[in-house]
Amino acid sequence: MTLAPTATLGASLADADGTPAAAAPRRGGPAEIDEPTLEACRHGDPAALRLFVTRYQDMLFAFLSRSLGPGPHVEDLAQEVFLRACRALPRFEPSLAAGPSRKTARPSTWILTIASRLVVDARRKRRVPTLTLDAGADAPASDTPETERRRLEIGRALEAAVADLSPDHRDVFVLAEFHDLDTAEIAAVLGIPEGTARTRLFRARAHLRTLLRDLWEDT
Amino acid sequence: MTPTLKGAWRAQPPPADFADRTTAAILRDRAARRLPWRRPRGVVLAAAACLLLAGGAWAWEARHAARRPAAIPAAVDVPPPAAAAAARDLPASPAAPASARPAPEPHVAPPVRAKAAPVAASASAAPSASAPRVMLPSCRCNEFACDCGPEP
Repeated sequence: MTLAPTATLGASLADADGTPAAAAPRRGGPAEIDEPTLEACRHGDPAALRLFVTRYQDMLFAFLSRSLGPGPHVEDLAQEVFLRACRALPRFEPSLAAGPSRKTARPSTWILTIASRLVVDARRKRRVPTLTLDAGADAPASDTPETERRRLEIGRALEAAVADLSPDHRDVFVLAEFHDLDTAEIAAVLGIPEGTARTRLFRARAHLRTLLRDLWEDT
Repeated sequence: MTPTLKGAWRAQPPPADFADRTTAAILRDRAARRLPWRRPRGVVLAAAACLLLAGGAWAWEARHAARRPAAIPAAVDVPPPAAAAAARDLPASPAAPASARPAPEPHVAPPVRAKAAPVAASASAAPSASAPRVMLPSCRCNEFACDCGPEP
């Protein structure tokens, strides 16, 4: 599949996940929740819990739908992730300051860790359908019909290429490209050695570059 | 990978009421886990602690009971026939208890040990009442040999 590049497409789709880029400490992640709110969540404060869910739900839906494919199972799994996170919240020691020498995880990384384990379980139990290309095509149009049609074409091409990856490579690729985790964080989230994460990311990018050679650099 | 390519793959957005429903589910889950019959871990831990304390107390008591000096069995003194007869001839005083009976008369022979070995009798002629008594094994003599001390 060869698609012609569109110059005006990038700016309008950069924040397609709905995450506010200005408040985020990194490009693809949400702004981390503060420690007082986390403490209130530990005590079961409804307002704090709602803020906790609101803060991370977009990131969680993005990861689950891209790893497993969109569908109603994403909502079920996302709710299960939040339930497990709130049960484990008293034992969680957040590191709100990002850095390479941190020993504890940020809340977003921690939630992605829980989500990745649920994704592995869901794949093992075959509770989720295979990645379908048409399921995500019903997103509301936000631009001109021509731009939206072009975005859909590129999106389908990328989705088809990612669906061609193995699940392990797909998870590493999604976490690296769409959640901006480095290899150390990916290794911590998926429970694999950092070298394995680096290798999987390299191979996933190489595979996608082969499949999307026109789109990879030109769009 | 360019931002355009990344942005073209849209993720599934959460429903509008997802946060409210999830918050309610979290609160229901917390309430269910706080019920006392849903918390068997505390009961099990308390029972284990009680068992541990009881076992420790029993082991401590058993160890110290083993270290405690055992009571030395008192030697059985058998009064001689003369002393026994004299004791029978004395009038019994109904007021005085048996333990408060006066000491035997000086002419009464001291009590002899029931199965005293000849060696012990010759070695310690007058054993004091406070000194510990040495119990020696009895003789096993027959018509051919005897190990009851030196030859006469």
